[in-house]
Amino acid sequence: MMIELFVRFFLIGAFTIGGGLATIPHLIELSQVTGWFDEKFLMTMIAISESTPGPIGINMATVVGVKSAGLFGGLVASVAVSLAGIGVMLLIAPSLTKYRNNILLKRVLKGLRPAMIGLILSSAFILWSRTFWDLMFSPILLGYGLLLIILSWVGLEFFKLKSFQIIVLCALCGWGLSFIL
Amino acid sequence: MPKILEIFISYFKVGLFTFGGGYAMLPVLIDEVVKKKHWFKEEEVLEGYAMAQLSVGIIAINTTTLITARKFSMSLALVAAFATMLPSILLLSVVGLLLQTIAISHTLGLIFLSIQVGVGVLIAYTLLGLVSKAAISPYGYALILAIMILFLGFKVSSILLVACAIGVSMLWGDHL
Repeated sequence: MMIELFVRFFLIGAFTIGGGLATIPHLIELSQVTGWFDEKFLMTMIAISESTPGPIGINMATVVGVKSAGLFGGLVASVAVSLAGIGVMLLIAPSLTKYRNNILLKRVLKGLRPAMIGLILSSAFILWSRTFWDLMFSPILLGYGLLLIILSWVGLEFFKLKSFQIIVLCALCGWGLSFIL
Repeated sequence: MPKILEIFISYFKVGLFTFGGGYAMLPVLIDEVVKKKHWFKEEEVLEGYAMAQLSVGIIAINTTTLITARKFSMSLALVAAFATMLPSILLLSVVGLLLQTIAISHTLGLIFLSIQVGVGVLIAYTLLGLVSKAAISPYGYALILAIMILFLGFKVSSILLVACAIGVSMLWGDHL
């Protein structure tokens, strides 16, 4: 179990470029392949990881690790997910400037952007269909959900709220709703 | 050269006081290792961050590893990497355990559902920013569509798709 956890998170780290969001498609795949957690848990976990201190990738790895393999799993998953990056950094450290203007590297990074956008877009589609499925439970809930979408968007676009502020705001709205529903 | 313990405590603090990861780490990191400890020049940290972003892995961990390895030594770099992630591991392990033990009440269910909506909006908002800044060619859009069909429709592994995308980019990256 620990070895599988280690290998899976090592691979996730080795194929994540661009941090945070880029790990989400891999985590969705992990949930589908292993069944260690479901998409609902994933959403909660993303929210927690964005609103607690520390690198988001490490936060997500720790929560998933603990959920799948117990307390020690958090440590294993976090170390595993950072290992590939640490290796690359130690490798390039002695001659950093040489890589800075490497043409092949630039080309790969340019080409990777559409690929990452495609994967994150797919993830957003999966997570949103899950959320709407839950909101369909009642018309009041659906109306509330749409209102919350608008509220969050306005908060981001016009009030420049930070991620964790949006999450706290939504949590408060949910708490308020529990007195009505 | 700073002592191991000194390195450990400084990077532990950086991990503990960074909210939001990646870019949000920079000011905290600069305050600690440039302004307070004078281990690096600000340019060195910025250059390390720029390079760390281009690599695979976790950007914050990559940054502390890279700058410490360049200036001091590999073993201190490993200490730096571990110290940066340790606060997250400790804190989120506790959260992870709590998540497993609490029963989902009516109130908590509504709170979690609301948070789900918020996270969905956050992802959509970030994505929109990414797309509008990326200047993608028609071939690039074709690649986006192909990746979505393969991932959503045919359940092709996301890791495999990234690996293939790296290969494709090496050949035709300039056109995407």
